[in-house]
Amino acid sequence: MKFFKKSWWKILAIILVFYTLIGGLLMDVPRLAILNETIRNLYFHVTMWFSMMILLLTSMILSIKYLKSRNPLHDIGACEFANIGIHFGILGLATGSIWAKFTWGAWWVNDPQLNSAAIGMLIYLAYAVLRSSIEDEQKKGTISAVYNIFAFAALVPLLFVLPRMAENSLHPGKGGNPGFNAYDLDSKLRIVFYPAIIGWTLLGIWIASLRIRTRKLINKIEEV
Amino acid sequence: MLFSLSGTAQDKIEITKDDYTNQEVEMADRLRADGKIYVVVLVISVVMAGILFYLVKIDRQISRLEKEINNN
Repeated sequence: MKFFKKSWWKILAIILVFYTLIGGLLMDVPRLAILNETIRNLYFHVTMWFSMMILLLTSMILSIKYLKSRNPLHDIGACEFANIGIHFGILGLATGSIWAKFTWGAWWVNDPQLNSAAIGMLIYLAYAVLRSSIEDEQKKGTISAVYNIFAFAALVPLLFVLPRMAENSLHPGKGGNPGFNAYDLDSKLRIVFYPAIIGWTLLGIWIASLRIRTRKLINKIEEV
Repeated sequence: MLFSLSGTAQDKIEITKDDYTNQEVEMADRLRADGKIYVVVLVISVVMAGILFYLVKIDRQISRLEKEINNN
């Protein structure tokens, strides 16, 4: 909790986000057919999914901690990290849809990677519905913590294993389709890509931390 | 599964130096030459700065509330 009130990592988040925006638009990128300038989406679309995974992993760890400690703060943390993770995931779907329209020709294609990403997001939306449907605080905490652990366990194969096993996929790095692996190898893309992941993730943690602190205050007021 | 993972690893197409100088692929060269891309970068930066400024303000407000409530 003390970490949430420190400002150095928030300053780092601001610096990295600006570096991503400016460097991501101006720095040299490989000139590849079909992709053209859209290759820069690597810094904005792909990083959304990476940040989402880090935020949802944090949420799952907090859920495990809650089951061990029964500390309501861990439950609030798990909930808010899941919320911002879901938010990043929806942004990932939306930006991916735009990118698909201009490189593959359709807003949505029946692709193993896209469909399993959509299923993954639906599983997490159900988490939010589940939370709001239980009145009792302790029951809510326990059931949603267990669900959250299973949701993350389902998301990993959905995003990283099943699409890779598919016969065909348009999406880079999946179904034997080369692409993301190649970008990853390129050092010029990497010097923006990795800081971008850290920057967006820190921004997500910042937003989650504000919501956690607000909910803590509300709890305190309600106690009085 | 392990087999399929190693299968995709072999299909990598490497980006070479030629890709950076390949003039046959169309890029936003004129936009950059005219310098107009900097205007776009500036506009996006201003928008992002505005959003982040708002975030900092919310952060400070919550800090103030925390102090007030914890002291009472």
